[in-house]
Amino acid sequence: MHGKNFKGIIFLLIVWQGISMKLDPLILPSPTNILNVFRNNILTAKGIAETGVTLYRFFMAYSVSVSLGILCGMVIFKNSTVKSFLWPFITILQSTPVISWVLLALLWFPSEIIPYFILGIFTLPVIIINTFNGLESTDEKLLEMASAYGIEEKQVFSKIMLPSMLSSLMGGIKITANSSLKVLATAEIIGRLPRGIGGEMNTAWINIETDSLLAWTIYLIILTGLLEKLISKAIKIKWGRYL
Amino acid sequence: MIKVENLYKNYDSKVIMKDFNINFEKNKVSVLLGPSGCGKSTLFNILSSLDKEYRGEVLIDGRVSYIFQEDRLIPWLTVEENLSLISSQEKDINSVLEKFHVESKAKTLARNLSGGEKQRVSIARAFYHGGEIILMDEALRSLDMLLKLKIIEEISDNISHESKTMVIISHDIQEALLIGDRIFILDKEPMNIVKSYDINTPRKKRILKSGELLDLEKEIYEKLLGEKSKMLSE
Repeated sequence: MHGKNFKGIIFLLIVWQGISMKLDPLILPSPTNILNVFRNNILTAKGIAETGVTLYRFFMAYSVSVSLGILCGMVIFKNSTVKSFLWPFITILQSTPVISWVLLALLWFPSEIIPYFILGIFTLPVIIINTFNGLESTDEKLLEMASAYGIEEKQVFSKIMLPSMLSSLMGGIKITANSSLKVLATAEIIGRLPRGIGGEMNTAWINIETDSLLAWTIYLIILTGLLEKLISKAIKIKWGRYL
Repeated sequence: MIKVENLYKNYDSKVIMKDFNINFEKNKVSVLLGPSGCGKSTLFNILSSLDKEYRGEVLIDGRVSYIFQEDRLIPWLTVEENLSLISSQEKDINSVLEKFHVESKAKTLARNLSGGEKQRVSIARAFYHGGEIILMDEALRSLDMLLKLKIIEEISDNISHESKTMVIISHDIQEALLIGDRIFILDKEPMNIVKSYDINTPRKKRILKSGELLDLEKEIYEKLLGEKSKMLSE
């Protein structure tokens, strides 16, 4: 951690501790209370199991959405008719607030489906658009070189166009990976799912356990950061040469 | 051999070439010298079939390998992969790289090469492609004189050995004198040949600023300057 960030966190904790001493713990619990929740609830077998449920939902929904998004992006790039049909839907998907989708999903689906649906709706348009833009931004000069040297179309696609698309796609993956876990937890809360991080936050809210609610929130922030770092690292290892 | 007859090419209302004729002899190096925008690169695009929207006859006796102004290497592929991509046949990449002294870079990603190395690899790629005709569009422009002379020597060795027909676009009279068998002075709107010069001294024996080359350099310089001042006064 950078020195400045560390100092900032220490300052925040001191201010937080100071304010919490003046207020009811139901309004603002102290950092010590939060640490206790971490020790007694989150970093226990049950807490880790609930994390596993959310992460399972995340990886299932996210991997399917990203794969489907890449496929759709490629299809609309190759076929302008499909693009003209799909583009309005993609734009609508992207511009509709997530909360509207969550509320609609509550009416349309059983609660267990809601997190998958919401994560898909959130991720899909970003990945489709970034895939399409990446393919479209392939360096014209490289394509001209490929044409002058008679490189096969299949090779042009796999060796020039796909790698060109990767940096734009990775931008999309980073954006969605950063927010997806938070969106997923929101869907778990609103869908009133009994399991997962969202489920735990919901229980804390119903029981008016502010310390527990804040502790799970901080845990979610830490988990999101770790997940983003993990995905970035995996991408670097797998496709670093193209970025 | 390349034979171009009655070529007509326009971009909207701008006529680039009109009744343009030129022949490039087999196994010779021809150099095109002329003002920017006169249509030299357009001619290359036509000869390499990148541009098919023209009128007139273009006869090309052989496959064309194109060395572009920029290296146009695929940055995320290694030097070896860049070369193997342009040929489906199993050929010895290393021996081509050796000819241009970049064999030690075979496993290096193209993006990690220096400017001079990139340019050499792009020239090696054209030789690896194996076309009987090589088009080179100002590929040496951004290099320093020493490196330029070195690469000219490498190209000269290779064209002598492999009987290639080569056409070069250049703005550098000395480069043209060192490498060309024939130099065409071009003018623009529409593109036309002002004059052509044959150089009879064997490439290996050419020394700049001496004998035939010095006289030719002066003459070409005056010719180009004359065309330029004519253009300015217009």
